[in-house]
This record gives sequence, C-alpha cells and structure tokens, in this order.
Amino acid sequence: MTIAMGRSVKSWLGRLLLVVLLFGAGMASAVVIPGEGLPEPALDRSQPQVQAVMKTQDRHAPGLLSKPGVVGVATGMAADGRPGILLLVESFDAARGAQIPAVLDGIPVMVRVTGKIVSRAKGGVPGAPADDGSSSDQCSADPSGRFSRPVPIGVSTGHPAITAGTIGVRVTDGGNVYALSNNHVYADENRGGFGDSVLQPGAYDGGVDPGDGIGYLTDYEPIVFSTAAGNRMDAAIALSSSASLGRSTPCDGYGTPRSTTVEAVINQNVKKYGRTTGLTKGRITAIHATVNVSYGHGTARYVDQLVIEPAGFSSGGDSGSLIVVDGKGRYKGDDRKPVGLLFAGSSLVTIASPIDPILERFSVTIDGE
Amino acid sequence: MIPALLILVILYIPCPARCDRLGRGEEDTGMTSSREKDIEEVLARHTERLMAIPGVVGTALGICRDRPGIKVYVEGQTTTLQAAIGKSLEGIPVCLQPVGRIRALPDDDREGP
Repeated sequence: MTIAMGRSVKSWLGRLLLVVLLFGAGMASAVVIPGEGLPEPALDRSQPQVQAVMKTQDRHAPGLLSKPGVVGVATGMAADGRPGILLLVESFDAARGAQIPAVLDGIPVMVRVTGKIVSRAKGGVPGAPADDGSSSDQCSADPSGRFSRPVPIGVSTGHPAITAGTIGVRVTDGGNVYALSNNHVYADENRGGFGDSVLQPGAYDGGVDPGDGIGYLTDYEPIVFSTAAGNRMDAAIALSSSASLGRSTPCDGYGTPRSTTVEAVINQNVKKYGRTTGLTKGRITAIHATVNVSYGHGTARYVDQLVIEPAGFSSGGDSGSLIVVDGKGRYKGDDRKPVGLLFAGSSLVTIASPIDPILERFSVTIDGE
Repeated sequence: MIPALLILVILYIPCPARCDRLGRGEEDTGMTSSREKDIEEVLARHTERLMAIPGVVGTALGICRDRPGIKVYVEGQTTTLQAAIGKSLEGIPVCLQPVGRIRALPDDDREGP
C-alpha cells in the first residue's frame, strides 16, 4: 500500500511539474488552455477528479501517442478549471489526421502545440533527450548513413541479403571482438552462411559487399519458426575488429554502454540508440513475456521476453539495438548498463530479449566501459 | 509538508539487494519474490491455453489495474476476448492490451512502431 501510494505520488509529482512548467512558461494561452484570469491551479492527487484524469490518461496514452503529430500527453486544466487531459502536438498540420477526440471517457481533452520536443529524433515518439551529458546538442548524426571506420554502435548494418538493422554493441570473448545484432539482421533468418559479410551501412542504406564490410557472420542462434517453439533470443554475432567497429554510439547517442549488465525489472527506465529512431527512451512494462513474432518467412514464438513502451520507442530498422538502463536518481549507478537486445515490435510495443542469456549463448561479454 | 518530505525520502532509499524483478523499478510495484513466483506459476499454467486463443499474440508478467498481474497482448479489439479470458486467473488479475501484430523490425517493416 505504501509503495502503491509512493508510485502515485511520484507519478503525480511528475504530472504536476509538467503542468506547472507549462503554465509557468506562459503556454496556457494557446488553443483551449486558459491564460490569464484562471483560478489558481490547485492540483492535488487526493482530488478524485485529478485521479480520474490520470487514470484515463494512462489508459489512453499509448493510443494518443501513436497518433500523428502527437508528441506528449499530460494532466492539465481546462478552461473551466476542471482537470483534463493535455495533448501536446508538434503542429496543427502534423496532427491534422490525428482525429483527436474532444472528450475521453467524460474527461475533456485539450490540445497544445509544442513543436518537436526531441530535436534529435529520427522518427517515432522518443522520450526526453538525454540529460546526463552523454549526448551533445551540437551533434546530429544520421544512424542510417555510412560511418568512417571504426563505425559506432547503434547504426545501420546487415547481411547483404537483408535491408538494414542496427549494430547492437561490440562484444568480446577476451581476444576477438564481434558485432552483436539479431539473427534476422546478420543471418537472414537462418539462411546466412558462416563467413558471409555484414555491412555498414546495410544494403537498404547503400552498403555494398564487400566494400562496406565490417565483419563476417560467425555464429547465430537459429530461429525456430513455430508457434509452439520456445525461442529465447533473435541474436547473431559477426567477427570484426577494433579498427572496424567502435564501442560507442554516435555523438547524439547515450555514449558507451557499461560492461556490466543488469536484470530487467518492471518499470525500469531504459533507452536505446538505433538505425531508424536514434536515441529514444521508454520503460519496461512487462517481463517474462511469451509472444508470437511475424517474420518474412513465418511466425516464431518467443518466451521470457521483455515488453517496452511507449509506442515510438522503436521502428523498422532498429532491430538489433542494445537496450540499456536510463539511470537517474537512485538508479544513476545503473545508467547505460545493458538489459536487452531489441528485435521486434508492433505499433504500440517493443519486444526485446534479455541480454544475459545472449551473452552466455555466445560466450562473450559486453566490450564497454 | 513533513509527511510529504518523508515519503520522498522513503522513495529514494536505494532498493536493497533482495529486491526482485517486480519490486525494483523506477516505480516499485510492491511485489515480493514469493508473489512473483506465484504469478509466474499461474502464467506458466495458462500460457499455452491463452496463446491458442485466436487474436492473442502474447502474455507476460506486468502491472494490471495497478497491481502485479498477467498481461495478455491481443492483435485486435479486446471486447470479445475479455469475455473469453476473464478478468482474473486463479486470483491473479488479468489485463488485455491491444498491441497489433508483433513483427521483427528490419527496415522493410516500416509499419511497426
């Protein structure tokens, strides 16, 4: 009970802070948010109306955030002083097709034009930009482009026969170094041959074999295409070298992952850097997941997987991205510790495999900081 | 004011090593190891049956109605499936969540998230 109350306190504080910031910044004069002459915002988590809005917001947040042009959702105050759901949109044009409802479950919905919240986004609806000094506002990289060698992690890669995925991380067996990504990125869903090239960028992004090779397919965990299967990872490694493959993301990423991993837990804040959506942040909302994943050549069941939200955390081309802890506050010490390897998703969720079984499978460790 | 500060202090006490996978997040869920094991066992007993229901694409341990519980991911609408699955299994809360089709995410799969 205490912990549940703690959760709501933190959740409420976050929402209150956002509302206070919005009002404090003078943003209350837009669309239907009242400006001067408003009653004092008296948001109190003990108020049933505020609790009802927060619950409705939580329930609809994935759907709202998946709408075009919508970049955020919060609890705010309507013109009549009642609490309501505040929808942040990039622009009216961007949100034109969003079909934003005026009311959700009896709660008024207000719209505020905020522009893009995350300047470094390559797409999707990333969380807040890194605020830990691990990325630079002066830098904007294109992770789908070709990088000079050694290439960073988190950028376009793939077997010559596929389109493009993401280099997850550099791993080592104590002697050699390898690029870790997915089977369907480096081994073409079990069809790749050992010794096949892996490219940077991937073929979809202009990579050619052998000129853009950064390594050779060394090992992969076969995917069993069956809805009765018990796949635990979609993973492969390619032998590379420190001259071809670096240890860090591009300059607008989170930097170098830590060598020590952590076990995933529910409500853990995480981030990733990937070929399509760059740096995004999200939260692990479920563990021990069993999911059916559709591939180009069949469906495969996975067990003991991680579910990450919100929508927009990943997109096509982010397959293979390393997911690391987004450590703040009391979890600052866990920042950038790997927790999973991204490989699948839907329009609303991202699916990742826990990182430790993958490292054990290939007898490697993270070649990080 | 003092109670509020006290709550904040409690919230930021580092989680001890015994914290388990459901009880150590940015927002603790209040789950004990034995409770987590209970839910895992219930989930294991029902996963095959749940996954065999048309429209179900996944199951997991998660937060359901603000409590640790079982999440069932469905491709489409939840209305008819909710009646078939129910709101709890062996006393564990069950929540259905529409997620659409789950796909691998190479670049040719751009309709993903």
